[in-house]
Amino acid sequence: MTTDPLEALVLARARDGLRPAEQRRAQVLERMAANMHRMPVESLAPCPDPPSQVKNGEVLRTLLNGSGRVMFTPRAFVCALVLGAAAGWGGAHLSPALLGSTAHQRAQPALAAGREVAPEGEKRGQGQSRDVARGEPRTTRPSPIELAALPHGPDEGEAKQTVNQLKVRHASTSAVGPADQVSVYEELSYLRRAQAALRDGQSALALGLMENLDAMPTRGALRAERNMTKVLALCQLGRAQDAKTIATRMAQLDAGQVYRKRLEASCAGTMHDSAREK
Amino acid sequence: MTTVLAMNGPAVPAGEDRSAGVTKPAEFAVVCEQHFDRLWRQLRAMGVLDCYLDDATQEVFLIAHAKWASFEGRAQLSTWLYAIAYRVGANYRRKLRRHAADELNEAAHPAAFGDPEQSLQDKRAAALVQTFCDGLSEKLRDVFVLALLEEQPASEVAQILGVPENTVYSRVRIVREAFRRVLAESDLT
Repeated sequence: MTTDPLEALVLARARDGLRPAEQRRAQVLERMAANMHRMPVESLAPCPDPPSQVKNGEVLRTLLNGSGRVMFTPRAFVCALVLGAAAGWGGAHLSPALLGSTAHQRAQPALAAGREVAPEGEKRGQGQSRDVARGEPRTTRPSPIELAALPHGPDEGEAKQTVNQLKVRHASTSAVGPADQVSVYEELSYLRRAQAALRDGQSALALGLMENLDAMPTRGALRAERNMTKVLALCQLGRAQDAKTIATRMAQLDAGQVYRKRLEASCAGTMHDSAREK
Repeated sequence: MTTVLAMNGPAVPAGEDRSAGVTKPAEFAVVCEQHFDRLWRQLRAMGVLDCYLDDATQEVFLIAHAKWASFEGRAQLSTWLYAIAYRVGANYRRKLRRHAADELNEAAHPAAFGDPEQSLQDKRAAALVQTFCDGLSEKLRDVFVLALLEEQPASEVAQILGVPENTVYSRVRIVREAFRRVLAESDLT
């Protein structure tokens, strides 16, 4: 259709210019190949959730507890994993940028408040039903793929197995400190593992993971979440003074404001309050 | 990995087990490999945010994989994939708006490590096209992307967009005139 030489030249150059970078292309193709039958977990892009026709909580409930057809998208799957981890220890612990500020703000961690942690299954169930029942207007995702329509689509048991496999894979791949800058995905993976460890009462492990991450060259996109996790871990370990030090540092940063209520509810906040009273 | 499909070659990949609705992974991987760049570019030019391009491209191929059995081969495979990408891209675009920061990702530019002069020209051309696309209505933008940028025949563009062929020609004429005006004002040579 193109006849003008300049137009043809510019369009040809633009075709080259709009192509994906080789590295990114290879990464996406690799993920697609690996996850054609298992939805990708690494595909989480560092930006707000795109519109989703499925509520994350609903996906999680269906994936982990429910039955029937699963409306399944890669990002929804990642959200399901993340929310699963977060719901298990009492509240969402990821930044509003990752999970949506509404979900984040209403989450109140039982651990931070020093309350008794309910059994995992019960807690998770409550968290999900709350999500679904409230019917918060989550963004809608275009064209979700129905899992049942996929050949070799995993059933409920397979989905659980996949979750476990992905956890194991992340554990095995991200345990080694990378020489180059750690991607936000790896950082998120660390966070998720630390949250799971906190949920299981392994606060030393959670703290160790976060300290390992501190020693790595990261972009710092999740620094606030990392510090919040450290505060909770230190509170669990009874190191309230150390928790307070981190909390004070967080409070001085803008990012810390997002976690203000949670910090106040933690042992660091309690100490801060009592110090003010004196 | 053996190539079993040409971009505009046979619609049905060799050895495809259509009856079962199952694509052999290696063969589908070839399809992905061959069509990846074009679909990525189409999605990007359509206005999908850079940070969603990975997901959007994957979504196109996952849908293609899921619907593989329903592809009857009446159209070119590339056209079928373009049609899927068009719907996926339109869905993303409907809800999202491009951020200025995502206009062009320098680090992600494919020619970043190639010939610097060529790379610069590609970048400038890509920036021009992207900016031009951003200023178009969705109808004109889709025609520009599919007909001019991706060089799809008018008949197939009409099929993808669900409009009469004459409408495609009409829109191509309008958008081409606008593009040439932009080119004339630019310093690209």
